[in-house]
Formats: sequence, C-alpha cells, structure tokens
Amino acid sequence: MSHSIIKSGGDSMSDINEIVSGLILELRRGTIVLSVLSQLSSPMYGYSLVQQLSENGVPIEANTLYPLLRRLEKQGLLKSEWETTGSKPRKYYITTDLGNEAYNRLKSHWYSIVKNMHDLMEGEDHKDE
Amino acid sequence: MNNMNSVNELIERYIYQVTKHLTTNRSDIEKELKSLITDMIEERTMGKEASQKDVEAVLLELGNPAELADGYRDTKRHLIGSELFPHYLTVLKIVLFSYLLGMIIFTIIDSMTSSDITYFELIGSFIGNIISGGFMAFGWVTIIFAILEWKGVKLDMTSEWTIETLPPVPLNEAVIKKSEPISSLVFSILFGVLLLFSPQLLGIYININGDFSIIPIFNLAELARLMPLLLIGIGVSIFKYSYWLMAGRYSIRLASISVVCNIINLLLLSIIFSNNSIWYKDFASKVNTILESNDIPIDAIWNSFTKYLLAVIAIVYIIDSITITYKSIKYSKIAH
Repeated sequence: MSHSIIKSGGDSMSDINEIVSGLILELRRGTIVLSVLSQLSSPMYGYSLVQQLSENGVPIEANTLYPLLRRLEKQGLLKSEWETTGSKPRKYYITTDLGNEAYNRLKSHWYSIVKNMHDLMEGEDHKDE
Repeated sequence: MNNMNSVNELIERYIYQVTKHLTTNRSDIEKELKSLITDMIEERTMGKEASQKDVEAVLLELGNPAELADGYRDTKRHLIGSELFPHYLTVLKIVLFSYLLGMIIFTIIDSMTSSDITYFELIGSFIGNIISGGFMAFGWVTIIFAILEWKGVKLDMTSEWTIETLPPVPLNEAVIKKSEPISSLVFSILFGVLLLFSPQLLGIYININGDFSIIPIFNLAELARLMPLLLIGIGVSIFKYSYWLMAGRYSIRLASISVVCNIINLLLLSIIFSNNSIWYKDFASKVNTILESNDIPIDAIWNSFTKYLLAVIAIVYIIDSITITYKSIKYSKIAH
C-alpha cells in the first residue's frame, strides 16, 4: 500500500501568522546575547537594561534577560556587583575582558551576516568571504 | 499599612515559587528578583503607593514562575534524553514482554501442579502479579536508564564520528539478526524471574495418574544464599545481549565485550557449582523411588553430575567465545 495522502500546506491566514511569528522569534533569539553585550561596557542593572533595550526597539522580557545575565556571568563574559548605596540594593553587570573579546568577534560576524544576507536576498553577486 | 503587607506578601509568594526548587545562588536570585519587581512596580505607579492590582499586573508580566525558574536552571530536567530514549523503549518492551510471558507460563504450571486453587484465585493472582511485577520491571529499567543518562553514557558505537570510523554497510553475514539477542534476552529475564520468585518450580515434573508433582532440582536455601551471584550473572547476560541488540553487527569491540561477559559468567558458575550443595539433596533418591528401579545407578550419575555439568558449560562458553571472535575478525577484515 502506498501512502498517497499529500498534506496541503497551511493556507489560512492564522496559520501563516503563527508560522511567521515563530520564525521571527527564532531569528531574534540568536541576537539577544549580542544586544546584551553591546550595552554592558558600562555597568547596568537588569531592569535598566530592559528599559534601555526596549527604548532602542530591541525589547527583551525581564524573565528572559535575568536568567541570561546569570548564564553569561557563569560563562565569564560578565561580572556583577551589588550596589547597596542607592535607595535599594541593585545588582550591576559589566562585561569582562573575555566578554569584550567575545562581543567584538560576534559583532564582526554580525556585520558579515548582515552583508551576506543582504546580498543573498537582493540577488547581487556573491563574494566569497 | 495593611495594603503594603498584602503587596509584599504577594511578591514574597511569587519569588518563593520561582526559587523554591533552585539549588544554586538562591538567596542572590531572590534579592535580585525583589529588586526587579519593585523597579517594575515603581515604573508602573510613577512613585505612588502600589495597589494590589499594580503588583498583580507586574507579576503577570513576569509570567509563570515555573518558566522563570526553568531559565535559572542549567542542569538537565529530563530523566532520559532523546539519545537514549529509543534504546530505553526497546529494552522496556523486551523486559515487559518477557515478564508477561513468564507470568503466563508460571500461572499455567501453577494451575497444573496445585489442585486446590480455583480459577478465580488463579486469575486474581495472575493479574496482581502482572501489575505489581510490571511496575517493578518498568521501575528498574527506568532507573537503570536514568543512571546511564546521569552518567552521560553513550550507547552508540562511537561517541565522536569521523569519516574513517563511519562503519561500512555491513555484509549480510556481519549483521546480527535481532531475533538472536532478543530471544536470549527473553530467556535470561525469564530465568531471572523464575529464580527470584518461584525457584521451587525448577524441577522435574512427574505425571502420575493425571496429577502433576515436582521433584525440585535445587536446594532452595543454598539457592537463596547464592542468589546475588546468580543475579549478577543474569545481569551480565542481559548486558551482553542488549549490547548485541544495539550494536547490530559483529565487531572487535562486540567480541571483546562478549568474551569478557563469558569469562565473568563462567567464573560465577564455577563458584555456584563448586560443590554439590546447590542441588536438592534427596533428588536422586526421590527419582529412584518414582522410577521404582535400581537398574540405573542414578546416585552415581548424580554425584559426578556437577563436574560434568561444569565441564559442559565451560565448553559451551569457550566455543561461543571462539565463534564470536572468529566471526568478528573475519567480518571486520572484509570491511576494511
């Protein structure tokens, strides 16, 4: 017996919306670390980072960012310190030397991805890099 | 003041829910979350006193505490990962099937040998055993695989593959048919279940005028004493045939593992059969009584039986080891 059922692709509007928003989420997920590292050359606490990223049009939920900050600290890309002199205690994060190095490398990768993707999608001549 | 208390209590409850299952940096995370939540509330109320509603909105924005806790956790949260899962299912199916088969066989034997048991009782105990033993088998397989997962054991042949180690498509002769390890596994498990739960059923079955009776072969007290060794031996066999099943082809590694397993089992068996005490001591005389014949020197045969048995077992294991080694060398040579 051969299976001759061909599934028809999702053709309703809600299907495509759901698929695309899933894909967008996936696309953005890879950029989160880069956006965080880009802001932490000077010390910031978690919520100020949430606000700053949001003002720059790269919103990240606090419940994603806070665990991420800890993970990056564990990997040695960030270091943290409690600041208790203000109105309430806050934990400030800043990139380490390792974090800076990682950020610079990621950044140059990012630019080449942007360029290559642009060329790819606009159909220009490919350049081997 | 009352409002402040209920607001704080709500925050505490949320934070507790996030951190209660975390093992590292718990107090630090608590402190940081508290600071975050008060920041979020302040932004929302613009410095005014927070109402219950404000807090609720902020906590809803932070989302399910369990998901937040998941983000903070970096250890594995599964018992058996996707790599081991197919193997787990295979082994589980074999074990449960063997157990079911074993229970059916024992129940049939039981119904034939004990006359004072009703079918109702028989079916009742059968179902009871299936359920309790089934759960036990399920539990053990799961525990073993959870340990394998925890230890990071990889059951696949090569942990890191290269083009060189990519195994060639095995020649027909080099493939181990699944039926061989599976039947051996079923047999090993059946034997293990039998030894553990109903060793008295191991014996000679005699039918006198339609009534079955059993002359036990083993000395049950001695058998219980040696049970750890027997179970290790069965465990080694199960390991060996599970490996065969997963490897699926002859290889030098399979041969080495098999030979080591054979040596271990042979050693165990030589300890178990080191003297006659393992046997039921009245076995020979009972057989003599039933046969009502003194023509056959059963006593004499029985006394030297252990020696011969051990010799036969040794020969079987040696032939088995040589065969596996021979096949493995032969087929892995062709492969290169």
